Amino acid sequence: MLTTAFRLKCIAMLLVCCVCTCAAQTNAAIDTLVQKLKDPRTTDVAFGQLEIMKHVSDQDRQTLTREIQGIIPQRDPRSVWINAVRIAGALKLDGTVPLLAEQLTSPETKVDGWITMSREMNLGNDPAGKSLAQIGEPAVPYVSKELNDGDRETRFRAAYVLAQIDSPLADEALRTHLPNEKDPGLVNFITIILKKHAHS
Amino acid sequence: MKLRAMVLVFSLFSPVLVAQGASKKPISLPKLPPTTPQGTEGAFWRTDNNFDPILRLKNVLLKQSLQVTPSIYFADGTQYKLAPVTLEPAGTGQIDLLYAIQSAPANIQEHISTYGMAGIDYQWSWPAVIATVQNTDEIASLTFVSAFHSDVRQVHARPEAAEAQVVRGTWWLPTPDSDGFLVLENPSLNPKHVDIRISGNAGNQLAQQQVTLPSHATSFLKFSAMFGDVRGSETMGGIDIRYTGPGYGVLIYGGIVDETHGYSASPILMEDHLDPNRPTHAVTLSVPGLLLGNADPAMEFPAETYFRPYALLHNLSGHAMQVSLALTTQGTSGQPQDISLDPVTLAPGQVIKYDFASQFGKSSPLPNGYGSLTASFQGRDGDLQIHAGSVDQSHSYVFEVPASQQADSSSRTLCFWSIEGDNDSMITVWNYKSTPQDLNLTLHYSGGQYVLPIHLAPRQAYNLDMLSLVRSQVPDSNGAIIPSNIASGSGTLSGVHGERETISVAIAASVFNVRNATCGYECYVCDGAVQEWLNPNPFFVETNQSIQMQYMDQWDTGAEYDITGEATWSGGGPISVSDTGSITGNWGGSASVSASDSSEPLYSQYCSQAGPDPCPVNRGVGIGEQGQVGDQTPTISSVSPAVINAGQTSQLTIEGSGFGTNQPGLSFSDSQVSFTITSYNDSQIIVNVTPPAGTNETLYVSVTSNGYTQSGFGFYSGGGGQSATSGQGSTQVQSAAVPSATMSVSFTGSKSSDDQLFFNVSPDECSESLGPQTCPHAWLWNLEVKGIVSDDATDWTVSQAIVSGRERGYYTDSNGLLQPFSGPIPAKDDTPNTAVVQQIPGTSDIYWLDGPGHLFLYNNSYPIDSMTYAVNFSSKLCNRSQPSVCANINWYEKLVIDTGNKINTNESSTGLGSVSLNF
Repeated sequence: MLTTAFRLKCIAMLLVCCVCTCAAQTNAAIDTLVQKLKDPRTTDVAFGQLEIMKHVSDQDRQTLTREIQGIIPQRDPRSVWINAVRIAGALKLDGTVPLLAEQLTSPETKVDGWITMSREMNLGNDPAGKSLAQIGEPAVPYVSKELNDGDRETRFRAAYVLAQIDSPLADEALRTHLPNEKDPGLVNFITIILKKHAHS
Repeated sequence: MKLRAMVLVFSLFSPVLVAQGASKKPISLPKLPPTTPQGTEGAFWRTDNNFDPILRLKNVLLKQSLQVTPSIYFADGTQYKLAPVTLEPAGTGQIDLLYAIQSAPANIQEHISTYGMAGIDYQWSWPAVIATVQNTDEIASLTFVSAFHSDVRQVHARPEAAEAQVVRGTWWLPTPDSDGFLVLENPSLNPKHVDIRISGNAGNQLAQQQVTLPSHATSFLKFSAMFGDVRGSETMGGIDIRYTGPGYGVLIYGGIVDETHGYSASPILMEDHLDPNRPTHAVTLSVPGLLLGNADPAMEFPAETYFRPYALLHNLSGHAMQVSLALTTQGTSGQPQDISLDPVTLAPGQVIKYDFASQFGKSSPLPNGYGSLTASFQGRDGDLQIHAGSVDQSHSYVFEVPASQQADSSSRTLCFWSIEGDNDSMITVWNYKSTPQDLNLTLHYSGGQYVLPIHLAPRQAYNLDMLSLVRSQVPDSNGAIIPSNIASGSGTLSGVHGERETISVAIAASVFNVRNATCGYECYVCDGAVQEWLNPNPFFVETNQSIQMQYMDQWDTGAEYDITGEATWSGGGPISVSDTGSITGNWGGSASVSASDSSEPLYSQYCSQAGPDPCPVNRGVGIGEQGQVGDQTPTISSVSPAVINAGQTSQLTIEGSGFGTNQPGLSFSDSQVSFTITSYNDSQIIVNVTPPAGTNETLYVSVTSNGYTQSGFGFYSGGGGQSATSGQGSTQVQSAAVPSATMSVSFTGSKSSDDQLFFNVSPDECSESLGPQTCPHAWLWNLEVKGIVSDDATDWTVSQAIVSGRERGYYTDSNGLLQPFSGPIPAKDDTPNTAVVQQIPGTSDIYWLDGPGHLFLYNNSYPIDSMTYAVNFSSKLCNRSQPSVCANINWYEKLVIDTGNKINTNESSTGLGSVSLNF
């Protein structure tokens, strides 16, 4: 007959084993998804699975950040790049912000060729800008740098991101930049945005 | 010439039978109509020897005459009705009964006796006539006065009360030749068996006799016949008479007679209505107006007539009693002087004659003039009987003066004074208090009244000789003079502020005749309340409303008084009653209110020789009344809000009163209104109301009270005629304004003048003009969407969507080869960015800009050689408050790019509606 102490010890051991197994499974799933994300044939499916994850452990976030940091500069295959950028925004992987902000400087990081004004300003064709807006305030310093230092196209994209963040920090960045902006269109945009944010 | 004073034993006679010395429980004095039959019976008349009985009547009403019908009852009980007489207000009347008997019709003759009783009938709300009979034998110088004191409304009540009654009294034989008699009368409607016991001065029984009296019969018994030979040396003692019936169902009168000296007096005989639980306290009896020493020459007594006081004291209690006595005289200086007399101790039942001779001798002679005797003891009201008076040295002149208990009272009506023939009247008023008093003695006579102000210093007595006053012809302060032809009347003694003012005096009044040596003591009335009522009666008050009750009483004189402010008020349940008699209805139902005034004096007559004076003792009136509390007609004071929307549920607040505490009913003028009461109380109803959509109307609402929880469910009118349903309140129902918007798209030309938007907020734009644009990086078509709304531009939300689209063309790859491309443009939300939307508050125009198009690069990488691009859009405005209210417009853009980076303006187009994607 098993003693009570022995039975309790066994239960405790089982619980420890279960925890180990679950953690190992999670890491394995992320690894699998990352691999799928990197494959153009499975990248869209992986994106869909990653996008709907509600709770991502710090360890997995680190894994994803590290992997996406590796994908973003490559920009190829394009579908992999797009999905990696979008996952960074969806999961608010703020470790990817510097790389994402850097994407604003290249016209090639926009998608599609058809445009509408609102699609552009709403970052509908700018995955990196959209992800930065989703990450929010952690992205403001990097986006602000692009607003201040970038070419005309980059400054518009940075301004759109800050407008989408719609936070005091982001508005302050726009307000700080406004006197230095030379493009009348961008001046108009920033002026209108600051005014509307002030009234909202 | 002999003068004999006869003081009648006359006990309490009141509109209500009140036990003397009773607790202070208020007496109810219901209001009766003036047509109420009233009657009183009693007294005794005698026509033997040379007696001539005179019936005297006094109307106590000051402003109302009364018609009175006297009756004579012979010894066998036969009634002989006399002709009615009319008594003026405050007036008196006299009827010679001997003459009436001698004039009796034949059918009465066989019943005629030499003694009997009398009665009177009249109509009034309360007993307002005082009646006495004075039997005078001028030849023998004998007189006896007896009073009516059986109230027929109580003694003749059916069924007849069967209560054990006891009459206690005192007898004495002042001279060896004296004898006494008892007159027993039965004023009730049934025979009465009477048990008579006479005891000696130590309480030892001397004689006993039973008598059966038919209704209204009279029996005449002599002491000598009852004593036989058992009296021995006993000269004084007690009388105990018992019967079963209503109070005063048997009346006992008596007399002490010494025909050889012309002496006549009355034994004390009082029916006991004392409260057996009455408290013990210091009791003081007063005997005012005793004649002392040498007779006043002005009163025309024979020369050298000298009066000495006498007093018989009878202890009726069951314990020994020490009695302190004092005599207050005018003193030699004219100031009141109190002379202390030796106290006496009385064993239970003992009767003694006080020895005044031992108190006054040569060293301290009896003062001349008038004096007031006081007897004090620690005991209960009625424990001591005093028979006192003054008698001259020959026992011819006897002035009996009744004792009365010292206590405050209201005014007193003196029933009779006379200066007719050789008569004169003496009225004595003694202020037994140590403080001065100002009084008015109002003398009533036929055709007028005479007011005599009397100021009495502490313990001072005032003696009025009526004959001297009338002869003086001195006018009073109003200029009135008693005409010299006036021979009789009555009087009222009051405080200078009226009959309700409290006075503290002892009074004595008598009619005497020096010529025939007779003196009859006169009764007086203690004025007070005889009936009381509340106004309004019955009361009616609505819930949440108040009415002021009025508590009135009426005195024997006819005067009415509002005693609302003096009363103690009570009530409960459906009403609340304030200390001042204000009634507030709480909920519907039957209710009662009561009021009492414990200090209000009650009307009573006093013709007693001794014992407690009923005047000050009986105080306290109280009355209860039924009424109704009717639920208040509900009233709507306001309905808010003043305007509600049709087709929407609004919270309506109905304010008012009388809604009740049960859930009230609501009625709306529009039967299609649906509603739910969410809360309610007596003054507020909150209801959710939904008028039908699309109506513009005044919506009337009324509230139906269902009463108050305490009285059950339902409106209670209480007979007051209120309505359960209120008048109408209203609110305005307005059809909610349906907002509207119209939309348009401008594809060419300039932006609207009110449009303050810029295309250049997009880096791809290169023009602020509408229409196709070939910009540095893209082919675009600038356009302006406009909405005109019925209300405010900010009340609308803006949205836009790509419905469908397609692009098809060729791009040049990195090797310079043309590569085809083709694909759909997916449906997507394309809601305008806030930077290109204009919604200015206070305006009705909405603008937004768009510049849909295509970059020069395919996939942002390869230059496009040629292309057809087409997209169908839908722009939309929706009202924020009514989200289902929207306006939308469909439009399209088609760009055809020819080789060479040029827009084929012929094949490119925009417009409302949609474009085919089959290319």
